[in-house]
Amino acid sequence: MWSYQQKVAKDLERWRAAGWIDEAGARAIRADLASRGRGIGLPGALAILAAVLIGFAVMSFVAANWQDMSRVLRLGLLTGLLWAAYVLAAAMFRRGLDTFGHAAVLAGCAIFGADIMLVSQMYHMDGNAPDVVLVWAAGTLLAGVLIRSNPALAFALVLFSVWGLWETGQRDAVYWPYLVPWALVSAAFYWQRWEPGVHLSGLALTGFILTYGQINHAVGGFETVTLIGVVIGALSALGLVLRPGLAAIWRGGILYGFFITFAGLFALQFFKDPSLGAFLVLAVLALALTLGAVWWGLTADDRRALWMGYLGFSLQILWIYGKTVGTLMGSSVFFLSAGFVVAGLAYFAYRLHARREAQEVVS
Amino acid sequence: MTGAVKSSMWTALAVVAGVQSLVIGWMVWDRVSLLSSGREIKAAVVPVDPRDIFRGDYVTLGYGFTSGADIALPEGVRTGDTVYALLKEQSPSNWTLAGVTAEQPETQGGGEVVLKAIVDRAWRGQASAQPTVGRLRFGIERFYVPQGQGLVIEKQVLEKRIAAVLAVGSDGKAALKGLEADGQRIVEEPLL
Repeated sequence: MWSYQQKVAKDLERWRAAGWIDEAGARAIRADLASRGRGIGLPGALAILAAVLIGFAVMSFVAANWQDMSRVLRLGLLTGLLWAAYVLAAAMFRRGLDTFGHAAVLAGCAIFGADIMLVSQMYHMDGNAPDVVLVWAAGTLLAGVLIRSNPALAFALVLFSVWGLWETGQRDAVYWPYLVPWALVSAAFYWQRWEPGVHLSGLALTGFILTYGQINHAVGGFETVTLIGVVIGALSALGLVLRPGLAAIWRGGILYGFFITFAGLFALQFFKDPSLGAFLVLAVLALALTLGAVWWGLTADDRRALWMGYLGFSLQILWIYGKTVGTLMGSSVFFLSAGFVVAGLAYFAYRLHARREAQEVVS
Repeated sequence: MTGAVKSSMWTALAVVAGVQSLVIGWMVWDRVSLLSSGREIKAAVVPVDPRDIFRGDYVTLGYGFTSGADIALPEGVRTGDTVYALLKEQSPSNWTLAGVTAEQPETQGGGEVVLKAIVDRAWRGQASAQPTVGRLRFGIERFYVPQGQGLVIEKQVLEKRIAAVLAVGSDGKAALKGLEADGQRIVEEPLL
């Protein structure tokens, strides 16, 4: 956000010097930028970090002084701290210091988790550990929804994901129940119209899909992952055409589709052991996909797609090099032909671009 | 924030704090009622690894009735499932495993007790004729001790016969009440 403001400030200077806008216009633009939300900002970020630290402090302080306190006293202390956090949150919201209020809510949720663990310790409870995380996550989700606190919702998703991964690890099988809380938290993010949260949901689901592929790798898991990626990408592209009003969601979907498809193709090439013919087909598809992402990034002015394309391309090339190293002749032939193909594409893109510019000048 | 939003925010915060406190309270109540009303049994404890019995501030307790050979499990049981273990008392504090079932079995008299367990790991023998076997976890394998007391108890575990005092509920849930060495309580804790 800051870099964007700095960039606009520089551009404004240039545009004003060129006489395209006057000083009043430049001032109005600067004022508009300054008035728009700057995310949580540095004080807010520090407050949230402080909340996390206080949560840890509670856990270690109470744990360290455990044996000197009676159980009733410990329980009183735990509950008191919980309520203190929410009273503090209320006081902050009342003063209009919303970010600090949300930090206090987050601290409350952290203390709730610490309380659960300390009660477990007090009564020597050593049951199914993920269950404890699930209860913690549910309490945090409740706080996120009722108080409409985005940081608490994000924390809830992290906790639900820890729970899901833990259960997955214990069973060594895809843990489908994870999708229920995932959908609940995602709905809450959407209801809050909080874009970073929706992205967090997207990342969590991507992780789930990739985990599915890894666990089922012997029975077509990576093929399924690739297919899911293609479907997500295609549906998002279709959505962009049919319902342009929700462009932000569709553009995000295209990125996730690209990422998941690439991950699937990548795993098929390098984690399985395909025949040379199959490997070549997969490699060409993966490279075409990364070039497609670069093209989309430039066409739709989406820098995320552009960078994903560059990164994917580099990763793909690097791993092909790693796989073919030793057969130097083979890799040099591969890079030479890949170089020619990309140079050809560059020339083609240049021609296309030049023609469009010429058309624009004519019209 | 407007006045209306402010008061609804107070309500929301109070509800969250209240529900979270109730969860903690329920956890405590569940344990306290189990510890006070559950049937008390004593089970011999075997050190899991005599050289490394303490990790951090808890004692890892192994139980005679589960240590050693792999446990035969009901068909179709998978890791993470809940099962019931039927124990029989051979001599005081000496319980043996009579069988594991997917549904809670009835007990015959005081010489038997049922413990609820989670399948820690389940696998099938190499030959297809072999049944599903695995390891169980009862949720009573960790005994938390105050900082500094670990070494004292560790010495007693190595030198004396240690038994865990358990409270077992009618649903098979078990809770650790304390530890005994040669019939003497060495660790005993109040309910609250």
